[in-house]
Order: sequence, then C-alpha cells, then structure tokens
Amino acid sequence: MGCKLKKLISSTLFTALMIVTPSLVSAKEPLPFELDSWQKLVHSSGNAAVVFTSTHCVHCPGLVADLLGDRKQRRQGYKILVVMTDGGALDLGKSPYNKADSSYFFIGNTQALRYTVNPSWRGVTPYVALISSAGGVQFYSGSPPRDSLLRWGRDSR
Amino acid sequence: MSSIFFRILFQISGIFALCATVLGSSARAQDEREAHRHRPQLAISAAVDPKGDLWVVGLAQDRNSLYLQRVVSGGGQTQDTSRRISLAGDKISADGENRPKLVFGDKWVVITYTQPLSRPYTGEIRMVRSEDAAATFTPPFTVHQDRQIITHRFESVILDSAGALHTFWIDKRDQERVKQERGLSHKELGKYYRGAAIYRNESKDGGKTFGPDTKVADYSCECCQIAVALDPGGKPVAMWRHVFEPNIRDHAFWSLASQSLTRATFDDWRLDACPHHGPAIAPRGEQGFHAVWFGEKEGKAAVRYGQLDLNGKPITQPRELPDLSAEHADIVASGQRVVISWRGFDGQNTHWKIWRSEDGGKSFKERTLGKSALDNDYPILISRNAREIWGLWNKADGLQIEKIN
Repeated sequence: MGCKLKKLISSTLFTALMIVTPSLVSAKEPLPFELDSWQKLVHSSGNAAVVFTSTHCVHCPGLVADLLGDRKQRRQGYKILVVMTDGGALDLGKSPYNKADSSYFFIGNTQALRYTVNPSWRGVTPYVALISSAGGVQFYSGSPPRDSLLRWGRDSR
Repeated sequence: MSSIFFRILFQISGIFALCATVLGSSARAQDEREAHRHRPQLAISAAVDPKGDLWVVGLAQDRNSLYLQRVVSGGGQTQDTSRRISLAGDKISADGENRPKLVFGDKWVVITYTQPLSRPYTGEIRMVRSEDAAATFTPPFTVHQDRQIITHRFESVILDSAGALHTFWIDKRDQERVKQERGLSHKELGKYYRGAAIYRNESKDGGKTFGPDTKVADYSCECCQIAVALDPGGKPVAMWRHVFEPNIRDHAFWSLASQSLTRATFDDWRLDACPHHGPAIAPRGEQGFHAVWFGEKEGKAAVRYGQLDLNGKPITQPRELPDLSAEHADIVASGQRVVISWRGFDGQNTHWKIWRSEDGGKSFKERTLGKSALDNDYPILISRNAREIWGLWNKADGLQIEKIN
C-alpha cells in the first residue's frame, strides 16, 4: 500500500515537473551575460563561434546565417552563440539569431562586460570569438576570413 | 509504516526542492531579461536657448516620453524640475549614438528622435516643436517625405545663421531600390551598393514645413552618428563615416556652401562591420574645422584628432588621443581654445577625460573630470555664449556637469 502510494505521488510530481519546466526554461530563451560569463563560456562551451551583436548591426544576421550554413555544409560540431550587447531584442522573427544554439544579453556596465571579453574590443559588431575546446580564443571584427574559419574547424576537431 | 511515510515525505520534499530551484533560476533569468529590456537609456543631447540657458533632453524612465531639463542658467548650474514630453505612443531610440536632439530657434524649440519601426533596422525621424518656450509641444510628426519602412535613422540637426533648420540622416531608399531592381539578396547587395546614403532637408519656418528630401551622398556607413557644424558663412557642413571602395570605413565631409564631398580621413580601415562610432567636428575660425574620429590605422585602433580645411581636406597629420581606451570623443572650439572630451575604461572604471588646448590645437593638456563603475553615456561638450565650454556626462546614477575653465 505504502509503496504504491509512494510511486503514485512521485510519478505525479515528476510528470508535473516535466510538463512545467520546459515551458519555463526554454533552451532558446536568452540568458544573462554577466561579468563572469565570458570565462565560463570559454571553459565550458567546447568549440564555439560567439557572435557579439547589437541593435543596429546590419551585418550580424548575415554572419550568423553564414556560420549556420558553414556548420551544416562542413558537418562541423561547433556551437553558435549570439550575444546582444545593448538593449536590443534577440527574438527577431525569422532572424538567424533564433537558430543559434544559445543567446545571451549583456546585463550591467557594457564597457566592463566588453573588457572581460577582450580589453581591445572597442564595440565594433559583429565581433566574433572562435573558441576551441582547448580554451584558445581568436577574435575578429566582422566576419572571420574563410581560411581562418576552416583552420579553426580543423584544429578544433 | 512510519519509515515508509518519512521516505515518501523525503522524496516529495526533494522533488519540490528541485522544482523550486528550477523555477527560481527561471524567475531570475526572466527578471534579468526584463532588466535588459528596460535597462536605462542614458543617451542625451544638450543645447543652449536664446537667453543662454543650457538644456538637456533624454529619454524618460517610462521610455514612452522625453524629459527636457534646464541644467545651467545665469552663472551656473540649476536644479530645475524636468518637463515631460509625451510622444503619442512613439518608441524612441536613445542609446549609444542614437539620441534625441534639441535645437532652439528665436521663438521656437524642436526635439528630434528616431522612432524604430516594425522591421529591424528601420526607422523614421520624428520631431516635436514648441512655440511657448517648451511649455507645450506638438504631437510628433515625421520630418522626411519618404515613408517606406526602411532605414531613416541617426539624424543630426543644426540651425544655420540665416535661421534655416537643417536635418541630416542615414537613409536606405537607394539601397532598397537597387535591391528591388536587381532582385538581390542582402548578401549580394554589397557588391552593388555599399552601406546607406546621407539625406538632408531644410525647414525655413522652424520645423513647421520642410523642403524636399535631398541626397547628400551615396555609400555612408549604416550605424554611426553624423557630425554637423557651421562654416564661417553660417552654412552647415557634415562629416560622417563613409564606405569608400571596396569597404574602407573612413570619413567623408560635405559642405552645403560648396556642395563638395571630400575624403577627410585616411586610416584605410577595411571592415565589413559596424563601428558604432561616428566623428565630431568643431569650427576652426575662418580656416576650417577641428575633427576627432575613431578608426583603425595600420592595425592600431585609436581616436585621432586632426584639422581640416574649409572643404574637409586634412591639413595636419592626425594625432592619437593619449588614451588607448578612448572612445566616443566630442570636440568644441572657441577662439584658440579647443577641448576634446572622451571616455575610456581601465578594467574597473570608466573615466571621463578631456584634452585642452589654448593654442588652436598645437598642444594639449590632459585632465580627468570624473569616473564611474556604472553604465554611462558618451560625454558631450557644448559651447555657451561663445565664451564658456561645458561638459556633460550622463551616468546610471545621474548627470555630471562641469564648466571647463
């Protein structure tokens, strides 16, 4: 009797948790990018192309679309992450941003957050960081040159 | 029996704890998303009224209205209550290089801003005007004639010495036309049309009516502010980040008097990206202009100062500002006095610094006016009564105002 009751209560609560949680914590929901976020990304993302974007960045959606295409074409396993650096929206309808693996938004002092990524980054967007699973990072203002992307893809396998 | 009861209770508690953790972290992320959407938009502009009082305009906390506040009157700073200007539901861009602008005429005052539209990167230049010393304003209206849902953004406004109000803005109607005519994708478009265009119009009655939209130049950068000033004849000049062939984001200069377009900087910065970093200019007496701009030259990113002739042609070797982290510089000149202001970040704090010259820009002395660890706007400079130079720096904890003696 007790065992059946226990199983019933447990399974009911577990089912409820499974139903409720995904609607609250979607993988696509933008996450806050704080002062310690960059170091966490570098050390835990594996191979990842991080695109820092902004409200007025007309080059950014095309770059993210190019990366999505490159990953598909070359069957690469890298993640594509998008970070909004100002107050702009990341949910832009059919924007390629919605197809990124994760998206983030700056919370706090923009200059301080930029500095954590790279002190020499002056706010240009798109600003791209290619992270390799070994922890190395290459930065580019604008699109990374094709040969750099290929080399990174080879080296980071 | 009781041990089974406690085991059930323990497991239920565990599941509730897990639920609470998940819900708690989700709620925190949601709160932070809300904070992101409602982060303070600190970008302000300043102008001096006909009596010599200094005013600022910015986005109110509710984000649906503007505030207008007199901050300097008579001999010094004042604590006037700010006035709220309702905008009939318009959204307002007031971040970074998008900021509301303020211009005083003899008997009127206008405020302009960019209203973002339904599609990304689109906008309209909007204006409100007052004829009762800023006590009341008209409902907002659009300044340009073109009403396509495309880019009309980053407006700059200046009153010439004859009383005509000039508005300059970044406009993508020509890019759109090329795209439509050739059936191009956005990616292909860059081969046929670089960037956007600069357009302008004039109002000879203080913003009641406007002349036609007129193209100043094709191929401007899409995302940087346009600097404007008056030439010795009181006519406007403009300087902006241009996209020279094939993708060189240097600066162009245009003069209404000469109707000429000149390349004003030669950093040779080849970039397919948005610097979000427009130039600033100030008159240099009868001889030309002082200019500051950001760019990457031979791999070195810096804000540089140079002097231009009346047509915008550089006449001095550019000098780097003495701060590798300098960004978003402003410049004001009065006689032989030249003041350049910027902000720089040292890893902990943002510093508000100036470079001041008393010999027309031959030599400069550096000074720090403030620092902050909070979010902050780009510091701005303004000349008052042709004698005083004031600096303003808006930060998350308030506006800092300094008279630069």
